[in-house]
Amino acid sequence: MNETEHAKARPRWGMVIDLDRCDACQGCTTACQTENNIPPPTPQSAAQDRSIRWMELLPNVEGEYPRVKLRLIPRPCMHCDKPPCIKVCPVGATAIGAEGIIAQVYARCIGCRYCTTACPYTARYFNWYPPRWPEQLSQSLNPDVSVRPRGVVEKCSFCHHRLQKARDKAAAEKRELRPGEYLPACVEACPTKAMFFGDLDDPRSEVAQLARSPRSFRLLEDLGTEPKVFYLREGE
Amino acid sequence: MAFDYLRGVRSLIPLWAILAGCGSEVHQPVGYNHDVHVNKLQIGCDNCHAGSMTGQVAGLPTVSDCADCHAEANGTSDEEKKVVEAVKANRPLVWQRLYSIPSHVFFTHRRHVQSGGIACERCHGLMKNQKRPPPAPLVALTMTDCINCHRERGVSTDCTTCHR
Repeated sequence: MNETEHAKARPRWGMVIDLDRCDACQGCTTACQTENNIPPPTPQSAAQDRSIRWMELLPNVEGEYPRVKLRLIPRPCMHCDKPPCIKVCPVGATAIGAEGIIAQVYARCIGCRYCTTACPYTARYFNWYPPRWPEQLSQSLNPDVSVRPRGVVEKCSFCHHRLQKARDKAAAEKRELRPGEYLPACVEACPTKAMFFGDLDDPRSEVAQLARSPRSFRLLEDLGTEPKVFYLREGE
Repeated sequence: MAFDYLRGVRSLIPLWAILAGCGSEVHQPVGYNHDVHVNKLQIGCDNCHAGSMTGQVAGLPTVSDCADCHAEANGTSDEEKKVVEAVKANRPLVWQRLYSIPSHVFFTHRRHVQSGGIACERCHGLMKNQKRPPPAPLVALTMTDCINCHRERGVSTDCTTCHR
């Protein structure tokens, strides 16, 4: 396969979250914390609003008491096609990959936090404290994901270590990667099947079809960041 | 004052200690001869480095691996005697790692050797011709070597390929 053919075959990974199906159980948040070695919030970090949540449920309150409607919108990193975060990084610690995943190289990050300010979705988190887990959990970290030290910025990676594992398996079995073989932990864990993941450039894929649906929208679309996470608003 | 303090600290650290620290040598418990095992006896790398084809790390042989051939002395060398003694006493041979990878780099032998079909020599040099264990890696690998090889083979050079 030459370089041009390879470029054509490259997927553009994206996510669709159906807000009609989401019941805000936070299963995605828990799955993400476990998968990506994110230390659980402490009373101190919560009080200072410094807890790390790669997948966060954004609250949206409508109406006034007693007629209040609370909507919770799951918010991972949007993996924007035009990401503002990588433009401001002075050391090249964050970059967009060929398949559209925004990478964060912790060893390069100097912790200046320009990117956390630049991200309009507040999807980036600074490690204010050294990571700590309860004793029972400290021995069951995921060996496929590094433990980030204090002083670096981190964010959702679309669980790209899972992509590599799936690719390795496909290569060992001498076949192409099958659709649905690579899913981030949040998508896999969603009990109401509200999350979809796949190649946005493949017109036959479920995510590409859902992303084109009339119900589809993206967060802060007018900023021109072109996020690759689509939401489906309430249906008929 | 600060200048005097620095001079005092420097005098405490002799130059030889700094040089020794920079090029620290690896000493192995036995003067293992790769040339005899690989070239003469045609034993494959994965016989002793069990993970070198399919594992994440290549690994180092245990004394029971040596026992397969060295339960009794096959020759007359002093180095073999050390192995036979260790096998008989069931005492582990503490081999030292020659290569180490920083914790922020994710590397698997499986991906490179089995899936990529890269020969061991590409990163480890002509280890098979070594008559004594080398005190330092034969090839000093840097990230530039990784990137160049990835480019040559048209493999992804995205940060996430190696850094997670």
